[in-house]
Amino acid sequence: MIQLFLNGLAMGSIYALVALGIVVIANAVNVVNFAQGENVMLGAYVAAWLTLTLKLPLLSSYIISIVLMAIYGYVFQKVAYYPLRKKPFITVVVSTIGVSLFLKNIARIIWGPQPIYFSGLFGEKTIKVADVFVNPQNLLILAVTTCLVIYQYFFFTKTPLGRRMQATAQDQEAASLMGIKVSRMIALTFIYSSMLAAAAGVLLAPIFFVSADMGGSLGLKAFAASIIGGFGSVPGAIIGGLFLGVLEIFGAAYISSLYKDVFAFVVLVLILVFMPRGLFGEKISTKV
Amino acid sequence: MLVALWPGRGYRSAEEMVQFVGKSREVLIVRMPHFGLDCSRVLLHLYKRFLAEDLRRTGVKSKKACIVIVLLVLSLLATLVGCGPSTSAKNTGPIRVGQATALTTEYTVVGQYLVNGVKMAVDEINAAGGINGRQIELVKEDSANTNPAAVNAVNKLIDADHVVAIMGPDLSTQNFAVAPIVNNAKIPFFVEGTNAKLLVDNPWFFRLRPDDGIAAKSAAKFAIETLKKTKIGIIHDTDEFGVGGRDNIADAVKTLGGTVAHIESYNSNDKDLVAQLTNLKAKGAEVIIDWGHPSQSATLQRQNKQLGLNFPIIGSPGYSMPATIKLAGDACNGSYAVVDGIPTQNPDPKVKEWAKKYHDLFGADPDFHASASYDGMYLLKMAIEKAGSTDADAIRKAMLTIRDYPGIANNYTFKDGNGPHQVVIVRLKDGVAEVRQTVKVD
Repeated sequence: MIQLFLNGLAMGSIYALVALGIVVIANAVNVVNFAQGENVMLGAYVAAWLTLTLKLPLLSSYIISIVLMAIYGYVFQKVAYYPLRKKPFITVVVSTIGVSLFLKNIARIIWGPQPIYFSGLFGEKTIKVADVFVNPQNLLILAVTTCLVIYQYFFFTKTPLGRRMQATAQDQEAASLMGIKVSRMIALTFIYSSMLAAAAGVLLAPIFFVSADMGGSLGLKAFAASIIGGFGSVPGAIIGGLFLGVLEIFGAAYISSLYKDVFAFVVLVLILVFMPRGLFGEKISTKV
Repeated sequence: MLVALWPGRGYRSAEEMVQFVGKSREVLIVRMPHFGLDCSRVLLHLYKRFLAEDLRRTGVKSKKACIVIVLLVLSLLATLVGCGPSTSAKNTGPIRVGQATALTTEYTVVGQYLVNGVKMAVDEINAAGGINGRQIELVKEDSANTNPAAVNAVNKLIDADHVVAIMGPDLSTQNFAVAPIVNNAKIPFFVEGTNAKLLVDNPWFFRLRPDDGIAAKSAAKFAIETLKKTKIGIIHDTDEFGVGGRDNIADAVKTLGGTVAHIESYNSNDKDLVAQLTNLKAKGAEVIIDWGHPSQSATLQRQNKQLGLNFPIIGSPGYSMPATIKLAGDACNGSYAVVDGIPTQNPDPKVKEWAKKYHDLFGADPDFHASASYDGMYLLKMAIEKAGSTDADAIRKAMLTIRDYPGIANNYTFKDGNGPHQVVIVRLKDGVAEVRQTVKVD
C-alpha cells in the first residue's frame, strides 16, 4: 500500500515536472507545446551520450545537458515559434507537433532504435524502510520537483526578472508599454521550459530507459495532468501530475492492470465534463 | 452493378471466380495474372452467360452490350499481358528466389539478420555449384515493417520478378497481410512469424521458427516440472503476441497440474510495473512467466530485484536478445528464457563453426533469426532437388516430405507447414545466456 503510493508519487512527480514545462510556455505565449515530451527525450539522450560515450562524470554531464538544452530552447522558439507568433493558435500547435516528430526521428537516426540503460546517481541500490523498498532515484525526483516548484514560485513572484516574465505572460501589450522587452522574455520562457525538460530527462532516464519513443506517452500524460490540475495553473500541474501517477498505480493494483492507461484518460474526460476549469483552474481552458 | 475482379479477392479457380461474379451483368477484370489460361476460360464463360443472348436479340446496338464488350476486350488485353507463360516454371537459367523483409525503419535490426542469413546460404550454395546445376538469383524487396509495404513487396516479387519461392517478412502481422496473395499465387513462402494462427488456411506457408504455442507450453512445463513450482503467475503485454502467449501458458499450466495464481498485464509503453509485481506477490505466485518485449521485460526484471521480491522469471524469446540483457543489467541474473536456439552458445561444433563464419562475414554475432533464415534457404534447395523442378506444387510436396533435417537453428520436420518442433530453455547469467535444457513438442 505505502509501496504503491510511493511509486505512484514518483511517477506523478515526473508527470508534474513535464507538465510544468508545458504550463510555463502556455502561460507565457498561449501555446500548447506538444514537443515537451520529446524535449525530455533529447535531454536524456544528451546526458546519456555525454556519460556513456564521452565518459564525462555524471554530474557534469547533467549540467552540460541542461546548458545545451537551454541553447536548444532558444533555437526552438526562434525556429518553431517566433516566425509564427502572429498566426492562429492552432498553427503554432501544429508546428510544435512537427518539431516532436522531427526530434523523434532524428534521435532514432543518431542513437539507433535500441533503448539505452543509463544509470542514475545511485545505481540500482534500494533502501528498505520497514516493509517498503525505496528507490533513491524516486526520492531524488520528488526532492528535485519540490525544490523546483518552490524556486519557481519565488522566482516569478520575488525577483525582478521573474516579475517581468510574469507580466509578459499576463498581458504582452501592457508589458511592452511598461518597457519590458517582450520577445526577450518569451525567449527566456522557452529556455527555462527546455531546461526543465532536460532536468526531467536526466532524472527519469534510469527509470524509463532512454529511447526515441520515451517522450510520446510522457508528453501526453503530462498534458492530461496539466488539464486535470487546471490548465495554466502551476500548482494545478503539480497536483494533477501527482494525482495521475497515484491514480494509475492504484487503478492497476486494485482494479486491473489491463486498463491502466484508460483510468488516466477517463478521469481526464470526467474532469473536462464536470469541472472544465480543472481542480485548480484559473481560467476556462478554451485553448484546447 | 459492376463487379471488379482482381487477384487476392478470395477465389482460387476460374469456377470460384465465376461464382463470385454471380448474376452481375457488367464485369470488370482488372488483372488476374496468376490464373494463366484460366482467364480465357472465365471470359468465355462470362460471354456465354451474359452476352450471347443479348447479342442475338439486339445485335451490337444495345448500349449495355457495347459497354460490356468493350470492357471484356480491354480486360482480355490486360489479362493477356499479365498471363504469359509463367517464367518461374522454366527449367533453365538461374533460379530466382525473393526476399521481402524490413530493409529500412526501426525493425531493420531483425531484417538485417534475415538478409545476412539468406545471403550467407545463397553464396555458399552458388559457390558449390547451385541447385541442380542452376545458380540462385536473390531478389530483395523492402517490407519497411508495415503491412502495405509488405503487400507491395510480395506482389512485385510474384508479378514482376517471377520468383519460385519467397523468404517472407519477419513479423506475423505482415505475414497475415500477404497471406491471400500467396495463397492465390500458390508459391512456397517461408515465414519467421511465430503467431500460432499463422498457418491456419495458409497451405503455402512454411515456418522456420517454433510457433508461440510451443514456446509458451515449454515455459509452463519448465516452471512446473523443472523448477517444481505449482503456483504460476503470468504477466503479459496487451498486444496480440502477449495475449496469445498468456492463453497458451494458462492452458498448459492447467494441463500439467499447476494453478495459475494470478494474471497481470502491461502496455507497450509502461515504465512502472510495481503494482503488477506486488499483486503477483499478494496472490501467492511462486514464479512469473512473462510474455512481452525487451523494454518492459527489462523493467520487470529490475523492479523484481529492487522490490526484493526475487521471483524466478521465465521469459519469452526476447529475454535472450542482447538488447534485453543489456537493458536489464545484473537484474537478469537467474532469469530464464524460452528461445529457438542461441547460435553463439550452442555446444554443437557445426553450429559453433557457423556462428564464427557469420561473425567473420558480417562483423556481428548472429541470432536465432539469422540461423533460421539460413536454414530456410537450404530447405528450399533440398526441396527443389527432391522435386527435380522449380514447379511450385512439386516444391510444396517435396517440402512436406522433409523429416528430421538438422539445420543450424533447429531440427526441421515438415508434417505440415511447421518445421521446428523444439525450443531451448536458457538461463541468463552475467550477460550470457547458457543453455539449460532442450524441450521437444510435437
